[in-house]
Amino acid sequence: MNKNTRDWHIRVLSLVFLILIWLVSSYFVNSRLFPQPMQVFQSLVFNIFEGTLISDCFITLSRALIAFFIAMILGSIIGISLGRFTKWDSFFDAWVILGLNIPALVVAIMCYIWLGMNDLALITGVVINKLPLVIINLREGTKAIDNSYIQVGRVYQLTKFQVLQKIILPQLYPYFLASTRSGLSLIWKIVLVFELLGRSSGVGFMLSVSFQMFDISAIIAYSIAFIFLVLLIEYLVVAPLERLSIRWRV
Amino acid sequence: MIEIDIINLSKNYAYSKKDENKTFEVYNDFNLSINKHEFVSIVGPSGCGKSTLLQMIAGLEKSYTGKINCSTNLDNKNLGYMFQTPRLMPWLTVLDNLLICASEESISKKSPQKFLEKFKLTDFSNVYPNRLSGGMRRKVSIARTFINNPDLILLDEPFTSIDQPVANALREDFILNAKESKVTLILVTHDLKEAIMFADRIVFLSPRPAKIIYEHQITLPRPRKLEDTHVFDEYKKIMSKFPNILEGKF
Repeated sequence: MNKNTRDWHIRVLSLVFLILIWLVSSYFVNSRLFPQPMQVFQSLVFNIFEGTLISDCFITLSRALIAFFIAMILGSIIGISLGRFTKWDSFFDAWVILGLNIPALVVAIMCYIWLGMNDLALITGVVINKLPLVIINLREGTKAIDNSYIQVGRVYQLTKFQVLQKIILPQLYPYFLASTRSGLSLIWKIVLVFELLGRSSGVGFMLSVSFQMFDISAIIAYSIAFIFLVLLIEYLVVAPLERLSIRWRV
Repeated sequence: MIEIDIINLSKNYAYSKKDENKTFEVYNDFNLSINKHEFVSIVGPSGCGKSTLLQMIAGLEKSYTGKINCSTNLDNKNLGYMFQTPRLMPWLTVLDNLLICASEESISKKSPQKFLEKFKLTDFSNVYPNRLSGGMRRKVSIARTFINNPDLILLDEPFTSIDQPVANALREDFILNAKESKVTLILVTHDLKEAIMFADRIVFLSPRPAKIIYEHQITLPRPRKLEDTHVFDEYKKIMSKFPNILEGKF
């Protein structure tokens, strides 16, 4: 039994304790702007069955996933290339650092101005935000590749595809996973900002509407629903993939 | 019949990657011939370029002048190479480590499985290398060296850094297999007794730029063991005649 499974009751207890603190605080604050857990739950149920919470979540999720895959594919290609070719790395290093430090909000505004208030602008902006992180991760991973294994491949006349598949990619998996993890958690937050600024659908847009109506229960309900979705992806997709790719280390 | 003919070989190394103009000579006009099915040990002081020589023969190091003629076509998985460390891919199982290096012919003859059986490793075929002892990893590495029934085997101090009894057993296993397979073998070592145990001929090198300072024919009967009296007598004979030969001084 691993540590995470063994400590499940501590985790549940911790969550219950957090809700308890929330309950007690809301009781003492006693304000419409600080709803009780039950009110949030009622808002959640209402928005699921009477509102558009489910469709909004899937709209946001699909935008986040499209941006995520584009950023991962582009970032991996560029990162691996920079890791392999030092002169390219020297040339583009300043660009990557610049990209890393541009505020997400600035990118959002620029993309909406240049490309219009549409999904293309949203996805482009999110990709621009995420890209430098993937590039840096994969570039460092490529630099850390152990060439002694590639020499084995050369001695035994492995094809280029075999070297890539059996020797290079397994060494890059931990870096892909690190990018996936940080990517998912970063991208969905940025997508919300972009939706809040310039889209008329999705969780970000609904948060903006709820903000204008001071509906704090709906804001928390939408947040909880979306966090739950992201956690589902983490536990059902990312964590099993991680276990699969590093099973040889166990 | 000559298997390998090294003619007027010269090789320089740069002191650092940044300044490739400052170089030092490893070989300067170096010549050596090795006959078919001959076992040659190359002995020399540390840093004289023994490993580099093997890398040049194997085609892993290509920046040199001069010629290395090899009657074996090394482009056809005809080479076995044991490195200083086993270099098993940690993300592949023992069997996969053999399969990835095996030719189609070897796979169809089930050579990987047969070698695992020969080295009593069948029970570990689905185990990852990090679960094996140092000695077992070397055995897998030996199996990989012989997997394609090579014509030429290069050994780069492969039995160092493991305890003596295990190393001795591995050496005996190795020589037995090599003699059965009728290969040409080049062993690089700084251990004179090991060189005597393996070789038909020992080539002693000077410090860099490496030159052949002495060649010694070994006519002792086989099989030889490291602790054999006649191996020790041969060792004493060489050392009493040339006490500084291991430092590359004649």
